[in-house]
Amino acid sequence: MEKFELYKILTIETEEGNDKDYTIANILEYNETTYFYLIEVDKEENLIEKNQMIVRLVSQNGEDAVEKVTNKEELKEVTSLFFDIFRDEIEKDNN
Amino acid sequence: MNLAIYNAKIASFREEVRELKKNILKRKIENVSDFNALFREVNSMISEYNALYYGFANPVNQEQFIKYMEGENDFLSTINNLTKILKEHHQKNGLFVEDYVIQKEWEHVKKIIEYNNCLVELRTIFPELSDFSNPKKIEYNDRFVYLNEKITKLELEKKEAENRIIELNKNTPKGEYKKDHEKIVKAQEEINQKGKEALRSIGYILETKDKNIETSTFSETVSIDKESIVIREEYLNSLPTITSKIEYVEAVLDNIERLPGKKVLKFKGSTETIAKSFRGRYLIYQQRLIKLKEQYEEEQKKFLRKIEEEHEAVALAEEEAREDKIELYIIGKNLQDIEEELFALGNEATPYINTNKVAIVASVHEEPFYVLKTKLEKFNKIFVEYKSLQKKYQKLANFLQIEPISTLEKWKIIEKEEKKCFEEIEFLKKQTETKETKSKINQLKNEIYKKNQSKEFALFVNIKNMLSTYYLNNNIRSFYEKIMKDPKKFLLSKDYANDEKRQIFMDLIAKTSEYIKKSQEKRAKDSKKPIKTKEIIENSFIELKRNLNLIPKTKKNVFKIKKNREANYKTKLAYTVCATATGCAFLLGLNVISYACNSTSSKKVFTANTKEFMTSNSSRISGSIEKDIKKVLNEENKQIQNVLKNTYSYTENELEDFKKEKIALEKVKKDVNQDNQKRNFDDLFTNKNGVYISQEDLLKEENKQPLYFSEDSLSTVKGIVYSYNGTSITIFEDDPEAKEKIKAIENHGAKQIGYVGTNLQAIGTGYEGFFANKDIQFVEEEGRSR
Repeated sequence: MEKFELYKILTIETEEGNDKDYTIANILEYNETTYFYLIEVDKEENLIEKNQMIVRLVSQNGEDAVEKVTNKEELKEVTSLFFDIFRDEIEKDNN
Repeated sequence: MNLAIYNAKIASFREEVRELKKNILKRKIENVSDFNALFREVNSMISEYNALYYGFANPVNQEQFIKYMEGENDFLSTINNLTKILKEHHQKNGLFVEDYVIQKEWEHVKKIIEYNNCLVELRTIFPELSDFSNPKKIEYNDRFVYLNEKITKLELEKKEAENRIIELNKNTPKGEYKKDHEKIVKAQEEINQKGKEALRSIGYILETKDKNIETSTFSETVSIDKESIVIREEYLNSLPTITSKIEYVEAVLDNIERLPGKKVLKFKGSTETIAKSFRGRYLIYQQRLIKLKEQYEEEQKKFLRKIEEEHEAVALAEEEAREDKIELYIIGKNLQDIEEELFALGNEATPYINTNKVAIVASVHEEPFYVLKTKLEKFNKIFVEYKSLQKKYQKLANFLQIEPISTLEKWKIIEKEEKKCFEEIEFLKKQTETKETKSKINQLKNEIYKKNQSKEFALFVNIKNMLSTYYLNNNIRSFYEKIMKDPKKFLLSKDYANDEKRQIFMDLIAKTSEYIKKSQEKRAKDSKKPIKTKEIIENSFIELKRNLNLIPKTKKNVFKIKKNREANYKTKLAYTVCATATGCAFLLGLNVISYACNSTSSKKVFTANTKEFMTSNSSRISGSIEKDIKKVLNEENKQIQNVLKNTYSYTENELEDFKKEKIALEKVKKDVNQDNQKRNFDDLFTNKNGVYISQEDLLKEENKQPLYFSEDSLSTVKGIVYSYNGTSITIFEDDPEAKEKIKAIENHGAKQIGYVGTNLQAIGTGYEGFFANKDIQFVEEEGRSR
């Protein structure tokens, strides 16, 4: 499996059994875990704002997979860190 | 080391620079293209200089290189700096620069170079002149007098030239031109005053790694050196090796860690704390560091594999070596035990050192060792065994080519040496292949292999030691050893279920952390100081944790990644992703609209309101109101976006009104919280979302039987209470923006549910009750009664 980098498109198998494309909006390494901020994209790679999620990179049967972060405390911490990154990127752009 | 022979390239480079220096004053620079040609030439020389300097892994070699280029360093720095500044202001003035301007500038540049040449000559002949701090008496001679006169003449001519350039600037429309020339003027003044030191301060080409990552002590009163907490991309890209890039990024991260800040937050759940305003940057830079380290490790692994292949019969040798390794480990353990016995004897004797009871015996670890006279016989017996074991250990270690690593400091030294070998090999590979370079490369490869073996052995020893402190069955112990050596392999194994893997990892993590804690406590006890250094086994600890976190916690929320590909429209995604990410979309509410309206502008614009909002804690607003407002604004954004998409008919007036209402709504949020903090009411009254009610009634309200004060007891109305998406907001009549706020929230569907007023029966002043009412009319006069 290729490396995970910003803005790469991941095709993920959903609960319903169909495949959806998500772009890696940001990556965070925290507590020895890799987190992704994913935003769904359509075929033309336009962002679908409604579907955004924070996931953790895991391994299932030796293959890469993502797991939704559901623990409230963990989600709160990680979300705050992601928005720190987003804010820094926006401020950099403006400067 | 004779550099000229060692590397002909460096010698030819020096010749090139000397040629330029010799002929520079004769060179004709009459127009822009002549100047640009010189600029390109100087630029390529500087990049070559940097490449040669950083090509040396050893700082000793780097210093020798600087010394070798001593006569040329000053000149290169001056010409680089001046051409850069001139190029910059040419670009600002537009592509066309008149010939006479170029010629005038060049005259100026020549004056500076001539002046510097004289200065350098003076100093080589009279080195006392370089020491500004300690002026000594100089013996004047003819040459000195001549040079001194020349310099004073040049100084005057230079000042005239400067004045002429400043006059030239007055005719040009752009004020920035003047600023840049003022920079040149300032630079020249510094050159006059400080000579060599001034050149360094302007941007000396020898930007050593240390200079960029100076460790300064930060205090809140001292201003932060911005350079040291930002990764300069040009500089990072100019670094030739991955290891130098890693060192640079690590140093920048270190500097950010040291910054003070208004709020310091815990990071990684450990004692590392990062100032809040730099947390985003820290995370981004950390991500880059991890990537660089992964790159380095991959390359190293590949390299090591190649080396192992080159070593003959590796597979068989490994089996035999394993038994030898175990023997080495056992001897090592025995040595450790004996050392502990010896030190116990030493500690016994310590209180009696200056008395007759104690004898000085042979040194252990290069320090004199004291033992009680009564225990001399015992000591001698143990010491003989100790010495013979030491010899045996050394012999076996030499045979296996293993350098014993007992502490993490030693481990880090070995790692550094490994990295340097790696870098030297990279440098040598770029050279033309000769017998010498080949043999040197092989030598370095062997060194890397040996060091890697030592590291592996140290880890093997530490893991064995750790597991031996627990009473485990032999089979389980060797099973755990295998897992700790390569946790990822165990993670990917299909013979165990996720739960089993999780259990084993957690068990190992608990054991390792306990072991680390105990050994640190023991070391602290022995040395009587707090121990800050880490254990070798901490790397294994981190690896175990990393692999544990890769085990999914539930079955339901895990989704397989089927494909991972490059985006076709990467730049578009990069541009829009930040604004779209949930929190940012809300925070950027206002400006998404303004951006959409000004669709020709490519820059994202932020107003003061949103900036303030972004940087402050969102706890200023109570959680439920925030959610509601978020919902409302998001829905509005969508509606407006749709309108814009379809009609593009959003007028400026409408935009103005909408903006005003938004501002008013923001203020409502703000005021609710501020008011709630300001007012001090009786304990009888509790504040519930901006509405003041009695404690008794609170219970009733929860039972959905709202009964507050009766309307008969109302004396004066002080504010109106609205129900807004399930919460209540009070707008007080003494608020100067009450009208706008009311309009804003009424337009967002808020309904009046009552008002606050003073209670006839209550003692004291202030708003003391909530009065539920159907019809209320807000009027301008204060304290209007119903």
